[in-house]
Amino acid sequence: MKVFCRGPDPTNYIASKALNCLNELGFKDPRISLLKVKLHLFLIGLAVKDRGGLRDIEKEVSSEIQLIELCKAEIDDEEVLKLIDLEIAFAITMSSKITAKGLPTLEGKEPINNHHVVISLLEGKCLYLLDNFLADQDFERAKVSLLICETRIKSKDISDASKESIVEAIKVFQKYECIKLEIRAHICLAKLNLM
Amino acid sequence: MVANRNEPEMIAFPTEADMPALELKKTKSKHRRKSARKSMLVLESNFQPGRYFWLQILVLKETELLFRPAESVRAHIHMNLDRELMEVEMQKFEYMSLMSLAMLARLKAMHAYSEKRLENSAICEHGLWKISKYNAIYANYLKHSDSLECCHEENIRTPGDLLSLFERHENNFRSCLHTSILKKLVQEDGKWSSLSIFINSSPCRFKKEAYSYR
Repeated sequence: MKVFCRGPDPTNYIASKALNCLNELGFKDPRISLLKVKLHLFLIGLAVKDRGGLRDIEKEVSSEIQLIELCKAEIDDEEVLKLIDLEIAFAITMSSKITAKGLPTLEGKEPINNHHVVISLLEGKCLYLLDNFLADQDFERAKVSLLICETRIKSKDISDASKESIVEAIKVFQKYECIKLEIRAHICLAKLNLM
Repeated sequence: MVANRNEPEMIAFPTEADMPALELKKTKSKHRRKSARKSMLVLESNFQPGRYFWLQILVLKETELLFRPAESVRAHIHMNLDRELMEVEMQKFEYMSLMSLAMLARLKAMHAYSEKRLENSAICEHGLWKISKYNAIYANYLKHSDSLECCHEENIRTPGDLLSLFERHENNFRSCLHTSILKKLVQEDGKWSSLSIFINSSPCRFKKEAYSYR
């Protein structure tokens, strides 16, 4: 639905309907809870991608995260819980990136530099989880590295480590045949070399 | 189109006797001979409950017809789900799951999606979104993906073809979310264990036995 529908509304409707359906069934099962978490994350993804009302994004993301926390209570697998935490941290980062970028335009003020907020969220939360609990998640690490690198390029705050991490990310994207992400990573590398 | 429910594996085409034709019978009237105007036409239906399948016939292309079950009839049938219908529903769920996996695979092969980093959907196949190898439906898909003709490479060449395929099945996908049917399926003994196999569970360490199916 997400791919084929033109607007986010029908997709949102279907995802909400699926969630209602699961709630009505009333099962206490970790797999059902995980499915609910995924649907909530899907709704966050739609909200962030749609970027309709910037203020609504923050509200929607925080309310979905609250619901995810409720579902988490029914899951006991530690690795799955850490992966959910990682997804939540990533979602918060993306939403804060978008809202902070858009708010000055709404209020008619000078753009605020929120790059350090995004980088601190990515490094402080996402990389921390990946380093300490999810060492085998190479794709997730590559995703985070790419976002850190892109943000650092924008804030002109690069280091040698940025280049190394983006080279590693390119290898991972090649391995999983994610062509679009690989191209973005190559663009990042080119920009790093030019700087 | 008539489906004889006594022979579930066959689609029986209607004979003249089965056709829901309306017989026109002229009733005898005392004054029939006197005035043709007074003769009455009585409509007598030959419908026999449970033997017919109502369809909407849609013309998608010049050479292609789509037979779609009428939603109202489907709702009526589902009011009294019997065991046979439940089995059919389960088969539908399984087929739709396999089809969605095949469609996603074609979508990925064509790179016809927006690969945002915050994708949060079945497009992702890593981390939380990775499908467990113990998921029976997924294992079944990996084993029999070649036999799903609808998603063969030669049939689906462009994103437009994929969209057309999706549109043909959109109602079927939506109908998988009928809570009343799911509740009835779950109430049936043992159906929850079968239904649970449709839940894509990730890298998880949930017990392997939970995915046993058939």
